[in-house]
Amino acid sequence: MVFAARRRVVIGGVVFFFGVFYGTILDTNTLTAADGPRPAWTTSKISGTPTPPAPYAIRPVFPNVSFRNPTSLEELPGQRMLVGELDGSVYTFDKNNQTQPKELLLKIDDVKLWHVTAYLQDGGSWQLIACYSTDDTSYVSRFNVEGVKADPQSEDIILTWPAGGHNGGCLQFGTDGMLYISTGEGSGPHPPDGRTAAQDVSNLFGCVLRIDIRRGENGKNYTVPPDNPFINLDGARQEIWSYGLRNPWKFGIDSKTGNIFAADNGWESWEMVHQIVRGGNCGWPIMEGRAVLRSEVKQGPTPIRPPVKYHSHTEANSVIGGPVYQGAKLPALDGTFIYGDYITGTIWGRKSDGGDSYTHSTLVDTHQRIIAFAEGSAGELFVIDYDFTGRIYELVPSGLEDRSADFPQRLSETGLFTSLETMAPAPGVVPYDIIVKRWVDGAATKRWVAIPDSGAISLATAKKTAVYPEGTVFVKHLTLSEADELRSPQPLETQILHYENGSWHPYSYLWDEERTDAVLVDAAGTDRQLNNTVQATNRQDTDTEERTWHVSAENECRLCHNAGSDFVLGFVPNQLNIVQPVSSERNSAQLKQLAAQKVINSVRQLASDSPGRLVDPHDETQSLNDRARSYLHGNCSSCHHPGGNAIVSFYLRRDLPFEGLRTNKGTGVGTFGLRNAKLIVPGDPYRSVLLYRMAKLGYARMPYIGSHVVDGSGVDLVEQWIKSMPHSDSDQDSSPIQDGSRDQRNLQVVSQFNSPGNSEREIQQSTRQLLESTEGALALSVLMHRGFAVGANRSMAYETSNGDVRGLSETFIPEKQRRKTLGRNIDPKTVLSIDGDAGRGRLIFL
Amino acid sequence: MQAVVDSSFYSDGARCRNCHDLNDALKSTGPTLTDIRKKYERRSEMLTHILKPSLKVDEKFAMWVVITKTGRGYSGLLVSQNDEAIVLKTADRKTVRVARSQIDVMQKSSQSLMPEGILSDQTAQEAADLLAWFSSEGN
Repeated sequence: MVFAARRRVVIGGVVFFFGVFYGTILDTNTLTAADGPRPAWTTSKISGTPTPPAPYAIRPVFPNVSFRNPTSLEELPGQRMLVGELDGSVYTFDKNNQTQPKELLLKIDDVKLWHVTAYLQDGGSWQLIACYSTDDTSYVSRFNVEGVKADPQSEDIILTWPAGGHNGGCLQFGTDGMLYISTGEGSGPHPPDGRTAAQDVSNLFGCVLRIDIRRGENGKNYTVPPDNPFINLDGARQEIWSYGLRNPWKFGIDSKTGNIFAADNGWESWEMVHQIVRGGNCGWPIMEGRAVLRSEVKQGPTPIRPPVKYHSHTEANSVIGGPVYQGAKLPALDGTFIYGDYITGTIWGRKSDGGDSYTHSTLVDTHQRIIAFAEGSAGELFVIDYDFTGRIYELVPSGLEDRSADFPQRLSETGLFTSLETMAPAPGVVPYDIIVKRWVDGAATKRWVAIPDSGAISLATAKKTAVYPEGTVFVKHLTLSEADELRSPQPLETQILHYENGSWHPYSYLWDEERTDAVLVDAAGTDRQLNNTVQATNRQDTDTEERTWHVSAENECRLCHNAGSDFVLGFVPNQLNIVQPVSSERNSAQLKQLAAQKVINSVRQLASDSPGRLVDPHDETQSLNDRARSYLHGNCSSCHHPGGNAIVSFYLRRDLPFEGLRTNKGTGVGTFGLRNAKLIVPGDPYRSVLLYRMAKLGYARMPYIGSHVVDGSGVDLVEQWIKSMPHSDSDQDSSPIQDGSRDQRNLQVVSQFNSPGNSEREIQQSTRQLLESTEGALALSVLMHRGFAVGANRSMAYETSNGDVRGLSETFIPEKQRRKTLGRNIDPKTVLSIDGDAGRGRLIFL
Repeated sequence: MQAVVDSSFYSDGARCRNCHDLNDALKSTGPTLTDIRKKYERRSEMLTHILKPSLKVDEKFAMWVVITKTGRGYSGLLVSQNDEAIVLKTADRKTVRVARSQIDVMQKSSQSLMPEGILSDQTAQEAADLLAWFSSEGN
């Protein structure tokens, strides 16, 4: 007999498993009086981080003002702050009076405003200098200011040059009284330096300019200082102070030494910090950072000066210059050029130590989109966010002492459990359960919430986000069943999510094989080979399997636990809303209990018709629609929600109506050979890319983080759900597997493989035909997940060389027998050390 | 060696082809293969950007996320904009016009529209072959 007999139903196992949890939730904890408040949790040793904390932090200031795409920030005389916005609005506000709103100083219409700065006059008055671009021209202009209003009619244009792409636009007065202006190379990002202008000093592109606006001459509203470097060079623009820049968005001037530092945005590989000196050639586009880029470009009149600091694009993506800090508030930063990154949110400091040597340090990693810095008159170092919050922040010492050595390296040291053998929680640590547990490759999960002392959580409501006490810890413990049912499940990982100083930190402790303790995993994650005793998944031939268990890297954790998903995914009302099956009243038993235990502040009962209401996906007494939608919510919606980080915008949140999921379309990453495919084709699972991607391993597998084994019961559920939906009439004919079709008959043959009427040969023939198309292979794999036609089908399906089909059957093959592909973490050397053949590459591509 | 590769690889290649035409920018969601070859002269550099598509996203190919006041979300490349509306080209190559008055949030994502892990199913040899083809003048 080629086909193995149908084995025990995995789905049943999972149902059983969930059942156990509901039953035990009340009696595995240390609370005997289930309705009384929990004892205080006093044993927490989880505090700080395992790595040294950042020396600085940012804190929001000026709570009553925020901006829409601000581009520059500075303090005015009289303790008012000046902020320009991209759309040409310029605001001021009182730095010390928090109740005063911001006031519109000026609106320049139909421009992109890059920077505004004050030009101080004798007697305490000032003029506004603005740099902005229209579609084709960049301007530096001045406006008269009376009180808190600038007069738009008073515009006096000082300087213009052509606009386009990178315009720079930073304005700073030097210690010499001159106005310094940065300009970009005037092109878009690609090709690099499209005008080939940055090395050409006959134009104003890619420069820091230096002009004197105190008086005009020769019909201009400025003069060129006589010590500018190219004043006597034929054909050169006399305004140029330094050149060879790409897009020096912001620069800072040292008020003591007059030294100028610019943060220049590189192209593909590098970000640069340049010291701007008289006549200095910063190298773009001949050089990008430390790499030669366009060697064919004619070099400008002076030698290229390398940047004084560069960052590869793994560290920075768009650097933003700040001041050379001189204030009294942060003495350690005295004389330090402050700069940050718009994309990564990191802030650095670079301080010259004399000569070429310097000290460089990371000051803090923020979650902000840094667009500008400013130093305040009281020594404040301000940072403004472009579009995450549009708010102003102040850099302050984090005050966090380095207690990284005290961070618990072992689970036994965390103070969460009194016994790891029985996983007995410490007094005050409370177990809870959730309705939809995400598939974690066959592992069972248990959860606890630990709140220091007697704190309580305020769960989110429609209007308010949740509030967690400092030091709150959520614990998720993962175990895998052993094939030998007499052995207790094997502990794998205990994951924690820790709240401190306003942010959430994910950690994982990996258990040793002796099951005695678990050790904190590095932020980069790790892999552990599981010994050959755990229960096999997905009906492989044997009862046990060897496989690799991946502990997520911190960044992988954050792909789901992030600001967009409000960080905490399980301890939320619709997941906690477990109604005890035995209860006669339909009330929220678990929420009530958590409130009685004073873990949460109050019970917010979920209405039974609440659109976000979840059910256990494996509870067959619930409707198929509720089960499938709950499954997709729990497994997919932390990325697939409006504003989430999924590439294709469709949503799987339970509270949205089906039409709101936006699944009636294709996907950007292809259809894998499925004909007439959409994300979900109601009535037709085998044309539904969603089902295909959750049924496969390898490229385009979903979910692509946190799971590396196909959830057979999930595939089964989602297939049934899609099939149960009414087919739209217009769609029916395009279905590749229709009633009476060859593949439909083949599926019948396979699903009745142990009926006496079907010969082995017939079954093999049907399997082969099904594997000819991705739709057929998908339908076959669903049958295999249900336990039909395993055995020889497995290898037959796998051996087919079509990658789209192979991905579907890979999960049925033991890990060691799979084709050795590059996998997700690819070391470039493994590819670069092999000579490729362009001819074969072409065949793969075409 | 030719026998190693047969037509069954069609869909593996389509993974690239889905968004990158050989040289027709109009058929390409991302840059054309010819552009890519010119941009990355070194194989190592090209491979780095295939493995980490979000390492550096050209302005032109940056993904934008737009959420309307009614809570609908769209993501795609920003193909045009004026005072009244913006136009996105979504990953499924549809264009979506959103009136500015309807926009609640509009953000440029630091992510590339190109998916991560595009070579994960390839063997090292296949990846080397593809890289050789992308770098060759003939493409």
